[in-house]
Amino acid sequence: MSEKICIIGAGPGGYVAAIRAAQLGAQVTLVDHNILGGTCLNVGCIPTKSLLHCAEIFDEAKHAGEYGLNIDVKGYDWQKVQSKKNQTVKQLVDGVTGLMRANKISVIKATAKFETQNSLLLTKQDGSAQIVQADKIIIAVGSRPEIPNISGLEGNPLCIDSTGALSLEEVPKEMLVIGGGVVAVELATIYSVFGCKVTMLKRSPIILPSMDQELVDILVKSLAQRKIDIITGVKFLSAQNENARIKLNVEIAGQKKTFEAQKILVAAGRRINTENLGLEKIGIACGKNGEILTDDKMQTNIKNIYAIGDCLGKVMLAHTASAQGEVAAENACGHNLIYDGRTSPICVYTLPEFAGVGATEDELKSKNIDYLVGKFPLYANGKALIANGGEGMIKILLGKKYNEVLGVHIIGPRATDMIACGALMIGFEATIDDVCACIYAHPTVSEAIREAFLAAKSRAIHIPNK
Amino acid sequence: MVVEIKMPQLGLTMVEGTISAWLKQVGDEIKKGDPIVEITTDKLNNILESETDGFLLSINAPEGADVPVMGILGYIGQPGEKVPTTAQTPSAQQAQQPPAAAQAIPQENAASQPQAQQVAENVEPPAAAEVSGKRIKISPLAKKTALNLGININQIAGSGPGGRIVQKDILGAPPQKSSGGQVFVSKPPTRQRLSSMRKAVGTRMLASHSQIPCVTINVKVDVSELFELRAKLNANREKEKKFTVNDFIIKACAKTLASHKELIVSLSGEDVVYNQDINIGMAVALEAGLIAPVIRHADKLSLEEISIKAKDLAARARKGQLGVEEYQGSTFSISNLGMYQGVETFTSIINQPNAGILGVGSAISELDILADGSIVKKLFMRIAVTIDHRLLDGAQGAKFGVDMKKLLENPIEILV
Ligand SMILES: Cc1cc2nc3c(=O)[nH]c(=O)nc-3n(C[C@H](O)[C@H](O)[C@H](O)COP(=O)(O)OP(=O)(O)OC[C@H]3O[C@@H](n4cnc5c(N)ncnc54)[C@H](O)[C@@H]3O)c2cc1C
Repeated sequence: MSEKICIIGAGPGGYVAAIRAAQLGAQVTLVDHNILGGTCLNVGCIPTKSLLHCAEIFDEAKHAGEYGLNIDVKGYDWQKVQSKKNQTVKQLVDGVTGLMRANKISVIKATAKFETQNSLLLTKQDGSAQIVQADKIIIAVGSRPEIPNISGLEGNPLCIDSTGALSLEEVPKEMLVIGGGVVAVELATIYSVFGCKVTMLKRSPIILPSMDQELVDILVKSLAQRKIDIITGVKFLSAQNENARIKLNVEIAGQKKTFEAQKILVAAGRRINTENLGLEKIGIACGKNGEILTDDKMQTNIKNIYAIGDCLGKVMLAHTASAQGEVAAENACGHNLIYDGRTSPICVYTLPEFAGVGATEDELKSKNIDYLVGKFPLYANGKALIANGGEGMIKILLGKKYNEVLGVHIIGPRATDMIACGALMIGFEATIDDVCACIYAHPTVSEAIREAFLAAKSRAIHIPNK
Repeated sequence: MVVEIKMPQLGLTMVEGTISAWLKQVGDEIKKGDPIVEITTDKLNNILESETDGFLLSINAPEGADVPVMGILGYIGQPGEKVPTTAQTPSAQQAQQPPAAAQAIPQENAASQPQAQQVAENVEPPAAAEVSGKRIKISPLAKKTALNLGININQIAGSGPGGRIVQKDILGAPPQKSSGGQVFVSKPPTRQRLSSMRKAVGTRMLASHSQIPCVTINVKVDVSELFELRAKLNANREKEKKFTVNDFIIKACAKTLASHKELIVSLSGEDVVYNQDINIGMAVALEAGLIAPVIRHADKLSLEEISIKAKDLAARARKGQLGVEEYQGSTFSISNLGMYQGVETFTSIINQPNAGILGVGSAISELDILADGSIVKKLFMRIAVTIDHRLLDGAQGAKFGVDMKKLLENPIEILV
């Protein structure tokens, strides 16, 4: 008899787990009360990148004159920008639907709740309910935007979250962004290109804390050139509306201050969707924010139940959820796999792009790990110079003793695509010799990766070595 | 014409040598008399010089390989000349092995020369006791780590994707999180091939220990006066010319042996060989093992001469520069551990074909009761006479020991 596996949540964690389990011969049921694809496809990765791509074309078109192109840019049609995005999302959701069918996965549109450790109560939108039994259950319920506890924000129509920001009727003239994480920076970039005056406000002293701060500084300069103001160390007090505008009262370095705009975008933290799952009823161990605790096999304290993705409250990224989904599916089917997150990159889709994998320099310092640094500025790379005027930098970190790759950080054109080779290096435990023994095509931005490694040994070719 | 470079026979007993370093690289021009390769045997280091002019065409025995006498180490000839392809280093087992770890460590610098990279690529495990020939899946970092720690990757199960060995497998399982208390990380033992010297020492020790029924006679010697005399003699001598206790011991031993020639015998098949010369082998500890250079006619040499000779032999032994004749032909031996304060007495293993050896302990302050019943502080040393009971009996050893004691206790006699 094949294993009966039920998966709650059809985001990049859940639907990937479903496909892998089906490939391994399990009888799979996938439950989601929303559209297939979860946050990622519907209100996350894909729609943001679609808008960003439009922004990038727009931005380039505005600068076409610098390349000798006489393009007359007559603004944009926001409705079309939106529908292009919706069309891409729909195509991908349809693709996932087709994949479910092809893999003989039974998809049920309902809200799931634990009855016992082997059964779920599924309630459909029309109120009808059914119980499904399963040998193994994988929880992939994801997360949703959280509105921080600042008086006047909750329920305010002028305050939007990331989901709201992806389907605005029109581009606001000014927008305040609360938060300094990846989502905040990306949405700020999109709207500023479309002519919105963006001010980012952040409680902590730095933005993008998980990225290498030396390269973050380069991004901050680039955001400043786009006239995005970044204000850190902000204490948020309250908000209120006046004449269809929203005012935000804050305290900065002891001084009270009020900002106002057409919209406030809150992109500061996410809440985990585990409240109404009935986890306490069957005794699944959770942390204080409702995040589910698992081991590196993605197994919870209840042996037949696994959890993956955003609902673990650790690394909230689509590819992490998918990788964990495959591990959970394998283990649920009796295999023995361990999730190893070392190769999981973090990408920031800004203009230019920014990506990193492995340790940052600050992390190595704080762990007292001896390391070498290699850096290569992209103004010395032909392809980068052609693409964006050479803005950006590649920075790599090596273990001092064995010269193994500990971290690769890239800001510049195509950073998010190139980071894959950094992930490969770390996954294969490559050392500097292996990386430098490879030949990188010319002219590409990727050549600069090798140069950064050479620079760690003061033998970069295209910059003078210190 | 292509000329073979062969493993020379550097001593009568030499059966194989180890390539410790190539001093020329393939392609280098070589003049007759140029040093080309350094060879170590159980006893010495020797630099082989070229007997011909030409170019080094090939290296057939990598560094670290043990090669039998007359085995082919490489070829010298003119560029373009063909090296015999059937050339085989007689030690097939060794020749098949990858170059020793030292040569194989990938270059420090990134993107080192292609050649060096190729070498690194071919390297399989260090300390490759078993070369299995199968492909081992291992990450570059794990390989470097194994090389560095001297771990044999043949014996490691990989935990990475597809059974690939990753660094964590080399470093051993990470410490488990414990509820409290200290966590000790265990490191796997490392492994290395015995050096040829270590092997030779082992073989000789085992033969001696298993063939010779030996008896040891421990004798207590009052060396108070000897130390005083030595201090007096050394008072005005330059540092490097000062007499050591060992010089006195050698001289006293040789002098005593002159009247106890029954101890300098050897067993040869069914015969007893009565040696005539008093040639004293003195054991010298080296990093890699042990060697006993010989002071010939020690009974006929003055203390001064013995001192100079002993210092010179010891120094050159440590540098591996002794000639074969310098460590052969002893008729009696001394092993002195007296420089290790607190060593009281020990039994040496007889240095065949000798029939006796003297073990010398350190000088220790002790109380002594004089004839009048008074108690005084004195310096005592134990000497241990170990003899081959097939040829000698305890009484002979004891007589020698006691006579040597008398001489040491009346040290002025040593000098005359
Ligand atoms: C604006 C934005 C941009 C982003 N951009 C990127 C990016 O570029 N790259 C990247 O890697 N990540 C990005 N992310 C993060 C990424 O979207 C998430 O990490 C990812 O979607 C998490 O996948 P998941 O499967 O764990 O959960 P989700 O995608 O959140 O899916 C969970 C699913 O579970 C369903 N569900 C919840 N509770 C129940 C229940 N009780 N019963 C039935 N169904 C239930 C939900 O309807 C949902 O469909 C972005 C996120 C946002 C908000």
